[in-house]
Amino acid sequence: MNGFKKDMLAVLGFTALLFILPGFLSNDYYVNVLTLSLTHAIIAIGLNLLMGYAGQVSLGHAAFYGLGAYTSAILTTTYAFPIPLAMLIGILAAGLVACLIGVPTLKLKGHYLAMATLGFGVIVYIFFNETIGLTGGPSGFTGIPRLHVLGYTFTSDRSYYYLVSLVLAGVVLLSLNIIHSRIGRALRAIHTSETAAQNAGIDVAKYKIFVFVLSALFAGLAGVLYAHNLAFVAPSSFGFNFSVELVTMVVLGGMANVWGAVIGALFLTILPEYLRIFENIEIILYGGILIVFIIFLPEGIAGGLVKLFSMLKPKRDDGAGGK
Amino acid sequence: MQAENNILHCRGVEVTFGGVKALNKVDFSVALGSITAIIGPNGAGKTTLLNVVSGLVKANAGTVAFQGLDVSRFSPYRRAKAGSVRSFQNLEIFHNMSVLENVMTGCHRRIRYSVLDALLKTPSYWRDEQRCRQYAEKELEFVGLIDKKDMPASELPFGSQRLLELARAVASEPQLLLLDEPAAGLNIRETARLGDLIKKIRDEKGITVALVEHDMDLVMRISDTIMVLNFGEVIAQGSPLAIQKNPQVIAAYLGEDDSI
Repeated sequence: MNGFKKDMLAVLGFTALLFILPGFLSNDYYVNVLTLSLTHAIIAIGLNLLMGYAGQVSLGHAAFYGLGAYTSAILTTTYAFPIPLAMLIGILAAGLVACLIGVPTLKLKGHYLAMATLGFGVIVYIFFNETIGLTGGPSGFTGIPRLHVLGYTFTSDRSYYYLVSLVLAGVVLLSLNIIHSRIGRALRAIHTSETAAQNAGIDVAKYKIFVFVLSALFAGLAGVLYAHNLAFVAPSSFGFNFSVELVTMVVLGGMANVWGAVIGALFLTILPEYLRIFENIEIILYGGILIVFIIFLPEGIAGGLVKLFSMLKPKRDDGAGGK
Repeated sequence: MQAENNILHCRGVEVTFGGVKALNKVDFSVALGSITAIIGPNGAGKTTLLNVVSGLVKANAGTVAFQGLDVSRFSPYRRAKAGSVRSFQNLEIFHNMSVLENVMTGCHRRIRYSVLDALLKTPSYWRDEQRCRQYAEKELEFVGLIDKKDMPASELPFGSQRLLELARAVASEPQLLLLDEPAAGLNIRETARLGDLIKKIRDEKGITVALVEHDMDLVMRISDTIMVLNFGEVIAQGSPLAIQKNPQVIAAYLGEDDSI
């Protein structure tokens, strides 16, 4: 119970912080970068449930992100679906496809999921590029309407930023709730030992599919939010490189830590913006910073912060369970 | 032995690894409410038999019946669900969890709120989580680890990790508990405590126990029935006293000790 109050306070504090933040930003461009980083955080949280908690690696999450984005974009623009309905279909499409990939691959032990999702990501990327009549091909898909629900249109960048902040807060809270339940324990058990998890009466295959589909739903959710913010989507945002970047967000932020995924996503999305001023050596600095972080913070930024706090706090054990 | 009294009944179990016959036409049964030990020299096929019973190894021939139900084709998960739970020789504790969470994971099937309950923290979530915590604390009390409940499981000393595994297994309320060398790596004092605990598991919780064990003092002290395997074949089954006097067992098992 204590744990839940702590989670609630943390989520409320986080939301408050996100709401205050734009007040310090003079330029709407920065707000847009922030919105994008929060969108990425939604995917990273899902991927962290899959990788950090259940120990299953996906190298194709950018594809689920893209599926969500393109589905909603095409349905609203080409077929004039109402936006909320199209968004819902976009999210569910990502989940459904994950189910189709997950059922055959997750029954096998080993890294079959990583291989299957790697191939799947490449196929989806090629699909976005080649079906020009449907997706607009490499030059992208334009003219996506901005989100309007119940008569309100999110015209300003700031209003959209607040919307994404709220959605992210919801995703964080739901994820924490999952983690602090028998489902979360089952996922962590699978990570350590599938044999022992089975022995504890946990249906390992079922939980692996569940968490994979859930993480794809989160990616789809991020995708639909992305599409109706920028009004433009192109295949290059959903390629293999971005899948790897998502994995990096999870590892750099902190495995098996919901907040870690948020920190990782914010850090990796905002960092390149700051490095722009170095122009030619930008990419070298980016790589160098990643290496330094991974070497000195093997448990990620969040893991490092937890350690720092426990060093500062007078020694006292409390069993609230991992954050 | 009458079939109705057997919680577990294996018939004609055969397992081959490559050209090696690990188990050859093994008939093995465990009487309901008993403590049954499987002994035998190294490589006799004891752990393989336990793996066949728990579903980790598929038998090439033969059947495994648990509570009268043929579970030969069941996955390990379904066997656990049916009520046969095991421990592992090389501890398989969840090192990424606290001691209490380990045992709460053992309670997985005793609470059954849904994903939706967890997502929305409904009253049934709170009620079941509370119950699960109480179950787990009771089992930790039972094995004597209650004061360590908030420690990370990986920080427990080896002997305590064994007890933790036992608590986790018992927490799922099995009908049959299979123990794979529970005394391995324990000192004399810890082994004695383990023996008492296994007896208590049977006497107080009514759980039938089958164990593979090398420690003869422990086996003779707690078992009702002993089954002796040698080169994948059953060479004797009977009471501790009968086994100690069995010339075949002495030749195959204890005799080998002398020759070393």
